[in-house]
Amino acid sequence: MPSPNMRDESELIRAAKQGDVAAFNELVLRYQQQAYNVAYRLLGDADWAADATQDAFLKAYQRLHQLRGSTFRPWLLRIVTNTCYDLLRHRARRPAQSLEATDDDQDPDHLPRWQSDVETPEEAAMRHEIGHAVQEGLLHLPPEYRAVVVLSDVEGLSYEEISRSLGIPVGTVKSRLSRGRARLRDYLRAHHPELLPSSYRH
Amino acid sequence: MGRLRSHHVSDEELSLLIDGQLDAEKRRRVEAHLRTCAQCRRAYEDMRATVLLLRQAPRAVPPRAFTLTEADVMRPSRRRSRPLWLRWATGLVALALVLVVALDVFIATAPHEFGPEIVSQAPQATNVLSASPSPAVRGMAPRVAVAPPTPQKEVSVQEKRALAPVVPQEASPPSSPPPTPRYDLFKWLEVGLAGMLGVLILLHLVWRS
Repeated sequence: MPSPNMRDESELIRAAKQGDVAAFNELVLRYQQQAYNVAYRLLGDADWAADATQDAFLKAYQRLHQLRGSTFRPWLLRIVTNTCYDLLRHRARRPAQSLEATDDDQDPDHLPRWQSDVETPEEAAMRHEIGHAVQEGLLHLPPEYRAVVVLSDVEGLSYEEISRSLGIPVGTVKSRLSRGRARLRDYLRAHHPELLPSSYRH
Repeated sequence: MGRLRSHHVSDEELSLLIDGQLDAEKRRRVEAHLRTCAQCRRAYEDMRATVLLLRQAPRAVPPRAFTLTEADVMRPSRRRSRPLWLRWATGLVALALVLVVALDVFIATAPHEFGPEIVSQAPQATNVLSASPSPAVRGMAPRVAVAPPTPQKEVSVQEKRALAPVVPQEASPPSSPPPTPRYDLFKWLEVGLAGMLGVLILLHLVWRS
């Protein structure tokens, strides 16, 4: 909801580059929802997603001088996805550690709070069920497919923006997206057939 | 069967069709195929439903604001501002120390080439030693003096290796102390470089905190 005194993005970036933390924080507030949602969908863990998002914003502030010409959102999302990849690699190297962290945590499912629009409790429950099924499927995809599917279908980015966000050619975006969607479809067919139309005919 | 299969629509074509990214001719061909092939139609409908599910998936709400404080941005930038010269200097001093120690050990364990020189300078060395006997040198001398010449040959390879860097056994006769001005120079160089390295590491720690 743009307010009358809302500053232009390029103006905020200019100010932030000169060390204006308040200007940078305006950018944080604008993009934190999207950054956090991407991190959560890539990592599947609310706490890890919060750490990754915080880390990514800090890195973005430190690397602002590298932002030239390109727009802020894909540049930021690139930092977010790379931070998440690093975490996933780290977790893959030390599976015991992450298991320990899961056991110790108060919230065993590591679930985030979901954004709730005006909807009935039944609708909300249905949406959450869909959300969890989709998240399970996403976590079964290789991370590079997962990132493309999340940016395209969850966040609604264009092929061009995804290409800039992930630093891969548009052709690669198309092929990874199709493979990711196909694998996710096959996962849902196997584990949640009730969510897909082909099951209605049986 | 082979001919029929070649007409099936690929997942990439289905995906592009969903996004409206197929050119007109390809799109006509794919849509014509979907009308006649139930298998491809199901694949398409399920993929489209999958995309719709992703779009409807609820959004995770950030548990807190991720705004940065002055302290957040100060801490890492101070750490990063550790000057470049400090890193270079530390690297160079560490390298120099390693080289000097390596050369020292090399000379000490290669007696045939340096032996005569060392022996010829031996008297000078005793003078230097008597003036300022260093703990390292004192530690070396008795071992050499105690070791009898014959059993030395029976010492196992491992033992020899373990002793080699410290005692240039074959270089000097057991009766005369091995240190020479050359060793003295190495000693002071090593002590000096180690000291410098210590100071630089301290500087690193100061910058980090």
